[in-house]
Amino acid sequence: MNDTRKYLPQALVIEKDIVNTPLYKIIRAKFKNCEIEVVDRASTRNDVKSGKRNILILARQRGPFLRMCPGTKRHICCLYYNLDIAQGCNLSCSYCILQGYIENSQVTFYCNLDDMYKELDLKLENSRRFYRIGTGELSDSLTFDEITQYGPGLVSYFADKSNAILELKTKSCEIKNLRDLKHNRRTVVSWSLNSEIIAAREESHAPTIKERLLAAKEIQSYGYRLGFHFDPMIYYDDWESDYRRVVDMLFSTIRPENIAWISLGALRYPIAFDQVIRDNYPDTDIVRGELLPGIDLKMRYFQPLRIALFSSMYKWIESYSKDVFVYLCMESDAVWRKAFGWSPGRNAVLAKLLDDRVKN
Amino acid sequence: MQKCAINSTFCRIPVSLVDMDDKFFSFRRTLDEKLPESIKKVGILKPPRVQVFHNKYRIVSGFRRMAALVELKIEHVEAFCYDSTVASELLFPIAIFDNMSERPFNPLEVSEIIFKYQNQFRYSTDDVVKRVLPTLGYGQNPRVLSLMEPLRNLEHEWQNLVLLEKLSLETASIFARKDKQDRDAYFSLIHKLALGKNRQREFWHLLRDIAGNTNRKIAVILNEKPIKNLVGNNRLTSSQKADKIKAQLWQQRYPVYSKVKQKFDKILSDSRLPAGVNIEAPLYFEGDVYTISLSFRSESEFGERVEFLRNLQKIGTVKKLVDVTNTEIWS
Repeated sequence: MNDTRKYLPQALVIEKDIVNTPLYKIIRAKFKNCEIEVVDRASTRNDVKSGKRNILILARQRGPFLRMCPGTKRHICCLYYNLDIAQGCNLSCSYCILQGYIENSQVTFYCNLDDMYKELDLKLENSRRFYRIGTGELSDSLTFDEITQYGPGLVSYFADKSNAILELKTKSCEIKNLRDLKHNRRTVVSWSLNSEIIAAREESHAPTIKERLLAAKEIQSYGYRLGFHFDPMIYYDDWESDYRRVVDMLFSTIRPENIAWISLGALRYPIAFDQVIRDNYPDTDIVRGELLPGIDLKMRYFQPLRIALFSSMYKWIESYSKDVFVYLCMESDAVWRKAFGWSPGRNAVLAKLLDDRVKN
Repeated sequence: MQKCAINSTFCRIPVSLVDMDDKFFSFRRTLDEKLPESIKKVGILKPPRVQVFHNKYRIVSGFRRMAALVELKIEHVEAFCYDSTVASELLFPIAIFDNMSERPFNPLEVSEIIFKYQNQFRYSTDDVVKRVLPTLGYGQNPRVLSLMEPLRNLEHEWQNLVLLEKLSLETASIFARKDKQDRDAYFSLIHKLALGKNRQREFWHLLRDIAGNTNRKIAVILNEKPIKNLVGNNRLTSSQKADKIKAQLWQQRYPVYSKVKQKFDKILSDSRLPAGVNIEAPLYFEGDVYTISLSFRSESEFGERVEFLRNLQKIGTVKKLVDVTNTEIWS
């Protein structure tokens, strides 16, 4: 990781409640010289409200840590659970949906991990269903792992769970904390991938695709299952050759039998988010694609373009292995059928197919 | 802005000594030109404010009143006079408050005030946002600054459209930053088509993206023959022209969608649907639910129309319609 990617907050805002937690002490030690302010509730602090940049908030998660992915109406959802352990990211991806939800790129780490583990115990011990749980919804799962050390604790926790699996979704190469852990293959480490040109243009603070795949190769050698998410795919003139190349790179680096799943999703965002991207990233051209309002009132590529993206990717991936499970993130039954020639039809069916990939 | 009481003297001054060309404190931009008439009738109700400056009087507040006096050839006026030593930065807020007591400022005046603070008084962007905008009744929001700031650069005719509220502030602000050729081409289009504010925004978004995707200037896009011909077509109403030009722009902005839509429309048109029968694709062809609407006045009419629809299926038209988004067709 080069210096520009290093996360250096200007100030720490700390909630009183968490100063006695072990995580606070670990993080505080990393930023000894940082300006610090202790507050009752970070959300009421003026700087935080006015969006001063580069503030790291160490807070108590007051709501539930575990939430089911809200999905999107009339689209097939994989019934995933998000573990909201952090909010915000330092990778500055132009399309990142967090821009619309989290104020001004502030990063929050939740430190009341005892509460989180209690909540997980309660959920998992009292349920007969299988849970796929990920930390990559409101943040990148690993980009801050050197600071937070969330990874080792979570991987160890899930190692002996029979009805749950952890997915750590990332674009980073922060994997050294995952080495030498007893994971029992109950953790899937996943990378978001894109074409190299899109990664360079739109994910400018994230490692290159080559770097990500090398990190994935390393993780493979630690015995973990792997996942890959081509999301958001971008439709542009050279998309076919560029995405094909990344599929080739992927399968020349990773053994198909170690891949739990590959998801595909095309660029999509709420209608009002269009202006947020244009304001924050005036040079990006992704918003000028043939994006039209979908039935869920999100902007999506015109359906035939999405089908072209997905069906080509499916074909290329299948050419390497028919056993790798490829699924679509938030797409309709119609798109599944047109792109893949089949559809799970319902959320529960897709969820079961994914569960079966990692249950044993 | 500094807050302190500034002493002035109330005195009678000769209008001839007022420097009418000195616009240092001027920021009013108005369409109302009826002041001489009212002064002629009732005199000056609110005395102007001036400052002694290089042996003349510099107007602080009351530019239109002074101009009216000159026009009416009135030789003397009673005014509040400030000493030459009073800093202009202290007098500018007086000019603002004095004018604001008459009516709220329009966006062009706000733009001018911002310009004066930035250029005459060297206020930083942050100073303007935090100190000036609240004085003018706005929140401390940098977006207000970026919206208002460029308006003063617009040509007079476009400024007038802003004052008449015929040009949306957002559109005016965006185009004030564009080069003159693009601005003139776009404003001329919206003026000729009498586009309302929502449509102005819609056209701007289409043009912005077409220009970005094709690396052409907006003026070049609007100067192309099909659009030019439509604008100049006297047999069409403004509204018809706007619809047709919008369709042209959609073809450029959404080429694949437009191609599919045209194909769908062509299949429907070739099938010669009878009156009372309509077939609609899902909005933007998203999803797979097509809709048929059918109206009828009698059992026999119902039978005819259902039979017509059955026949559409037999001859393969329905298949063609639902397959219209297949890649083989549009590629």
